[in-house]
Amino acid sequence: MIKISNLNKHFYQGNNCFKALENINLHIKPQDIFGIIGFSGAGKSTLVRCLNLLERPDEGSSIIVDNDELLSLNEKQLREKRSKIGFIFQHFNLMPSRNVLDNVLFPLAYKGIKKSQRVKKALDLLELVGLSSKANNYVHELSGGQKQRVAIARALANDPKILLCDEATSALDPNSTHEILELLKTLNQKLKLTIVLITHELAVVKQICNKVAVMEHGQVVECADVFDVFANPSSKAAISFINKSSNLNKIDKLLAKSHLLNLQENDVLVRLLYTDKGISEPLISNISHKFNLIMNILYADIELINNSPVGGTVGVLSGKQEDIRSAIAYLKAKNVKVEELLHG
Amino acid sequence: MDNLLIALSPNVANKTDELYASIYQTLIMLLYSGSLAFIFGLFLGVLLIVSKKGGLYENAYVNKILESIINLFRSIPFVILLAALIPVSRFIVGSAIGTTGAIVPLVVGTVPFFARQVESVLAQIDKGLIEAALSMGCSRFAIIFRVYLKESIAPLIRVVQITAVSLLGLTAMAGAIGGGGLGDFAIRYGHQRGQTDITYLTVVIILIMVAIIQLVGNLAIKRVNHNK
Repeated sequence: MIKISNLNKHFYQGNNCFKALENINLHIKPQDIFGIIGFSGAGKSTLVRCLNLLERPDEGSSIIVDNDELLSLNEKQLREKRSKIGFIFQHFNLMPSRNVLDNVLFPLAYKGIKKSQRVKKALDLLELVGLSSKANNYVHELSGGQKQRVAIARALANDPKILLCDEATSALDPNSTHEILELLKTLNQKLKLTIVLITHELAVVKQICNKVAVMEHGQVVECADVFDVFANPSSKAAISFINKSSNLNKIDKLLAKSHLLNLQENDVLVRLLYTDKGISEPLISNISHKFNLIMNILYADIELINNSPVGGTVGVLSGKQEDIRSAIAYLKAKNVKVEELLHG
Repeated sequence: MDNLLIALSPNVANKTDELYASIYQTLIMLLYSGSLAFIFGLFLGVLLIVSKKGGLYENAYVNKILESIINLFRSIPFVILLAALIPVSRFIVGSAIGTTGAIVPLVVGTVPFFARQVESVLAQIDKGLIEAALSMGCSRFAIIFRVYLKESIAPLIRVVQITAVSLLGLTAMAGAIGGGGLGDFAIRYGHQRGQTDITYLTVVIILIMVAIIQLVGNLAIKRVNHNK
């Protein structure tokens, strides 16, 4: 659906050259909900704005959207193409002097569609995003979540196959964020919409994406299925994102005051990370039976990502030394990542 | 009507016809030069905005030249402009004197002022709206009308109001080239013949005109303004 190859983008500030995007290569398949995550300044906004040429990348870049090379389109063709690529913004960018209906009608005007048909289409779209009752309200009368719904309806007016979201939920409260993401998910299934979503919040990726690219300093440092990135993050940025959202790392604070843990002789403090999609057996219960051990669980954090559990447990294993050894070996054989954090 | 005027200003008794003619001349100058200045000023204001760095039709040369011309004309005092534009008036409207002759300098004196104000109104438009329109496949030309102008209607009416009041002030000077009007009337009788009551009468009439401009403008703004 979208194929980005060799994408570079420089900005000039006076004589200084700033590399915003460096050699980006991505392939986004139809009906993906593709998340692009990164800290501020990573270049993710610039990247998504390149996907409809709001930002023009350097010579030699290639962006193929739905079989058309964007960079070789003329102005008229580009306009045509843009109307087939929906775009929603962090700050909604609705027209304040127009009411909700007129905002949704905006992209439909001057296209040779009859007025009555345009209005019907716009009302259908408002229905789809759950805002039919607000058709005659003005933008300033709406809440943030409602504004974003109008923006989504407007972006869908020309039946695009792709929806680009630039920090679409960053200005919203947690409830509205959740609702908007659920709406996007529904649209993804109902309209077979491919969605590209820029965010700095891991929760957003977790909730709806199936693929994720992690960006840092203008480069894509990691790109895979969301589950794989959560289970086996390989880049520094991804690890940092995941650590911030997981409570398994609270143990690091405890480790600094290890006397609080009160480990006995032979006790081992371990962190177990489940990285295999298929884990369903009660591992901890199993090892405690099999090897006659006690596991004192300090923290646990399990998330369901694309219907597979990912996460881990931190706890203290107590028992005979050789039993603990064999238990750890057993866990490793089950594809559990085991870190021995502290020995008593 | 005449009785009311005479009660207010005894000296106007034998020249009510002349007073009406002056009011008419002022209104003609206001209407004609106002409409022309509106069209040219709006055009130049838009041109200033779109040719700016980062604008829809970025063009440093056009922008620079336009800036210089506007600054040049804004710094010429209007009375001097009246005299300086005599040959231009004669060329364009065929007369350099009288009410018609005053229209060219009035337009030239008002356009730069209005264009600047239009520019500052359009500069308030959120860049995000332009980007949204571009991302929907709107052409640059359409964006000028559908976003810049349409989304600025209320503040544009406000600057039309301000410009109209300022133009009304300029018409008072048109007497210098025989353009007539209320200013001329006040100077000839009120000032030169010491009939002070006539001066005050014209002030009252001009105040009423200003009040009407304000009232109509405010009503219009109230009607179109939806973004509190």
